[in-house]
Amino acid sequence: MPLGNPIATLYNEHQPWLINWLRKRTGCSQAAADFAQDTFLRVLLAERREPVAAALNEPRHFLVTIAKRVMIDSFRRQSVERAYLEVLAEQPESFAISPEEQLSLLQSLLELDRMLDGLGVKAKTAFLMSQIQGLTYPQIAEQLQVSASSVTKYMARATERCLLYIVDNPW
Amino acid sequence: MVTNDAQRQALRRAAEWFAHLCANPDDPELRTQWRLWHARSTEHAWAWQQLTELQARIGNMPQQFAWEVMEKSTLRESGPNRRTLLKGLLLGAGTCSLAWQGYDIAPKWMAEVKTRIGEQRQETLSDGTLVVLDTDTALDVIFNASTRLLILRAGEIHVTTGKDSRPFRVRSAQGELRALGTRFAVRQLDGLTRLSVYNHAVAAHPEKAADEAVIEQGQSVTFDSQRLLVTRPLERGEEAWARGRLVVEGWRLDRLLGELQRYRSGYLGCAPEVSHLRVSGSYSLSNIEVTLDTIARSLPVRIQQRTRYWTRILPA
Repeated sequence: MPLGNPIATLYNEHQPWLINWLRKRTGCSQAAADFAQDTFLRVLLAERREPVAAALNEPRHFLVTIAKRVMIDSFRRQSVERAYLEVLAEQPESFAISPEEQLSLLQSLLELDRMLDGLGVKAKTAFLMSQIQGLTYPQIAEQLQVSASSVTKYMARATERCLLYIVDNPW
Repeated sequence: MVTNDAQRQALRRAAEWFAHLCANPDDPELRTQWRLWHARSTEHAWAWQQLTELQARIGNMPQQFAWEVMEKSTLRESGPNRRTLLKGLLLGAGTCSLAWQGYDIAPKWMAEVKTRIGEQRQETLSDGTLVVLDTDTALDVIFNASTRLLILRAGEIHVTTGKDSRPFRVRSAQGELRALGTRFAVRQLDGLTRLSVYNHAVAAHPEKAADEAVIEQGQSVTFDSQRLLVTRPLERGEEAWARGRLVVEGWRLDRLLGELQRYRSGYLGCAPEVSHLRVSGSYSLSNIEVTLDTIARSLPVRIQQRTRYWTRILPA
């Protein structure tokens, strides 16, 4: 990186500190190093969209905020992966999908999880019931014990969130 | 990234439209309103396009499997007051699945006349036209004072036109067909349209072609949006599907299975060693499992059925 690059400066001045902070949190040097790496990668990507690194008043606070996000995402990812493996293990022997299909299915599920991140559980559930299970609104309303018009609101909110994700994360 | 307020606003409205259309997919008034909204600005069309993109990313997962994973992970955080909700529910009619074939602005589930996988149905239109819809077909019917227009959104239709002075047209994703005669079939393939003419003639006009071409009785033509790609004589029995039969002569087994696959859910295939075997016969399309048994008995093969949705033909 060229001299004077704000990300490089941030990295050089705070990377050891961040790893140390993460090590205390996770109790694991390897995980701390990985999380730190992912944190700087995310900062780098964010910087391309909207440069902020040069103007940070509290760079460590900023890094910790991002690092927490990285950790949460990682746990979410693990949670989806674990659930995926559990469900896969429960399938009858006859459930045959190729390794490529497995990978693409897991990717889709991870992406779906990220899309719905931050929504309330009712909105999430309504969206998944409608789009994955194929339930009708009256069925969803009964399951969630809410009115049909609430289901419509949940669906609109969840769909909007998904669309924003799609636009922000092009393939 | 969303770059301006108009886009942001359009995404919100697209999501609201989607939610309302899911609630009332067959409400003609709502659909008309939606079409108007969609046509009103490029931002609206752009926003709706993102829904197609959403479908491409999440619309093709195995239903029950995906649900169980999401329930165990994404929804698990919801705490103890969540009842065992969601288990063992019968699947609904799927009136609003994102799994549409999105070639046009309107998804398949919004079409007026639809058939499920494995279903065939005959409809009589207001002018006396008979339309047979093949498996997994979606069709819009637009009749007004001056024209009769069918919009084929997916699948295949067999048309016997009624007597009427208004022109009769069928639109597919690749172009438009104008009936000069009375009996023909149109199939929407992936990126292609196939027309088979059984009586008199039909004029075919690929969307971007300068002229239309007249296809005579006994001919079948396949075209993309630019030009006619293949013209061939009809095969014997090609029209039989409209009466619920598949009539084939000397077909390879893999081709036959490919055709039967359209009428049932799940995987249907064969081992490479038997794919070249030749098959002739007349088979029922209303019960594919019986048809598969019939085929298996006539060839040195056996059927391996792992689940209802996974069937493979192997050497005996």
